[in-house]
Amino acid sequence: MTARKYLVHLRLCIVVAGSLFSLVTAISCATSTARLRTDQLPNAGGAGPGYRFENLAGGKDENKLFVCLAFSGGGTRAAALSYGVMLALRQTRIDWPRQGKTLLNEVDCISSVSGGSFTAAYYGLYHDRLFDDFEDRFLYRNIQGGLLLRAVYPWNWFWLASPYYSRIDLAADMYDEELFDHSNYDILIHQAHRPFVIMNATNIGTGNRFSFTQDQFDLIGSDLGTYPIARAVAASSAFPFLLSPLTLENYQPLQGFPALTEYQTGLRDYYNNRSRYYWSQSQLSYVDKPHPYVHLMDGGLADNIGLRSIINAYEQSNGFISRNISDIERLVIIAVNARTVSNDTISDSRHTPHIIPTVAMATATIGMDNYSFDTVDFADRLANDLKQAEEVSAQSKGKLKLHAPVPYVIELSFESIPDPQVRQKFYSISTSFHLPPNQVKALINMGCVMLKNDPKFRCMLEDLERDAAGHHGEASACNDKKTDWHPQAAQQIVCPDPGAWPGN
Amino acid sequence: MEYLLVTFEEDRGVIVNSGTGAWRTNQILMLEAGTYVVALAPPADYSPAGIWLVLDNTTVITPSEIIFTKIPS
Repeated sequence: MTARKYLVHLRLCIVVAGSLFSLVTAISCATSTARLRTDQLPNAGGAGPGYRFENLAGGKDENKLFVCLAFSGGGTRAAALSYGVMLALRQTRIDWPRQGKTLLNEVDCISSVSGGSFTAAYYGLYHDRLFDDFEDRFLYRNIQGGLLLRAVYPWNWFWLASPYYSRIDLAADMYDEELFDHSNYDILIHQAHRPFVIMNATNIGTGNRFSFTQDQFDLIGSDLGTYPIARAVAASSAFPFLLSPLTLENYQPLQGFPALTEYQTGLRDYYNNRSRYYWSQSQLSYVDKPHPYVHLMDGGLADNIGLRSIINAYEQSNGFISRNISDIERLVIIAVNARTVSNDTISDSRHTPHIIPTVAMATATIGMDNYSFDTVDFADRLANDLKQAEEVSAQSKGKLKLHAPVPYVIELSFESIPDPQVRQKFYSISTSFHLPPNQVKALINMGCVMLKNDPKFRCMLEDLERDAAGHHGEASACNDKKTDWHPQAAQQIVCPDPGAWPGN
Repeated sequence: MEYLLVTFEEDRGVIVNSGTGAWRTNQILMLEAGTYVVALAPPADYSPAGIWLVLDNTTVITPSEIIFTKIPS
């Protein structure tokens, strides 16, 4: 072998070895999570270390006014709308239960799916920095173009050819590098700040919601702490057909893992409460009949508004709202729903719709929209039941001591836009991770305006102003037979410039 | 939602399904319909040690009621 041939051969060997090394790294990065150590195992009641609500700072006083936000799916449209709501919350000054705070300071949890997860995760990680650079780093960026560029980059073809690295990994890596600065959940655990951010994906093996919390990761015997936040966001927003599922390992059965009482009792409830029965069954299936992997896709497939995690936290005895209910005096749930309504063009033609893209898109999105209605209706019914129970308790003059704060369920959606032509324009905004800047600007403004003008939000603020004036415990302003309230806090909200879109 | 009254001669924390929360004795608790195992927070000076019950068809004026009694020291 000549020296020249030897050199070429050596170079080839180095390239192949380097590639194999990188492939091994990519494989391990693509699915790696850390197995729970014995000292990390939860107890039978579900308590333990890790990213759980009860491990975040805040106690009785912080629970008095309990605020949860739900951010829906809908790509950049959802992220911009929820960001506009955050801008309004930041300007909503309140003096109860603590003086000189904003409603944003009082946010205790954010549950999100898909596009809404970008805003939720960014705020959970960076707090007020959201208002400094989220617009430039995400909302106005062409995320889709960035992903496409990465996909056509020849070096990535090698990884994409691997069965262990796919388009979702490419997306997760991009979010990790360019948006979340390689942060993992250990940073959130270390910060120990509220809000508790619950990003939701869908387990496509069972069809159930899969939340990025340690409670959920317990069931797959895994430590959420070491998991990159960007991967949770990627799983939550892995829109069917466009992105591939994200894969996690299930380390169950783990030695010493306790029988979780909430789910064990739930298994007896087939005749009493089927939703609890099926939920318990699905959760225990990770432990009792473990499959080695969990494949996750867009959270919108199980609940496109993100409200179900909050309802469960309220209803279930192991839920973080349920467990703190005695300390809560006012419970506010704001659901930001970026749902759009597209014109039905399918029914105009006699021809059977094409599988791709028409049937495929319909299959992917019909369930998402139906679940949105379902969860908002459910939350409203729950609020009404509780209102009646509270009234009965009040009439009993102390004989029936019941502490059940009635939730203010505030749903913000394009339905509330009064001008039908403007409403239609907002309905026409596509589900995409690249929107024209004028649409992003209009969406940010609209999120702010919708919250500021929402009747339930305004009567809730009036209640808080009455509380601050020393009238806590009086009947809610929302019971007044009127629809226009004028709380000072709402009047002080100045929404950003909407820009020229949608015009006339 | 279903309603449960846990009666005990003292004000004490209530443990539902092995989990602690802000639930208290002698107040009506709200839980979704279903099966529960209820106990009291320490000290273990009460009887029985735990009560299994099914919550269904209750109202705020007719809650399901369970009673724990204090063991004389």
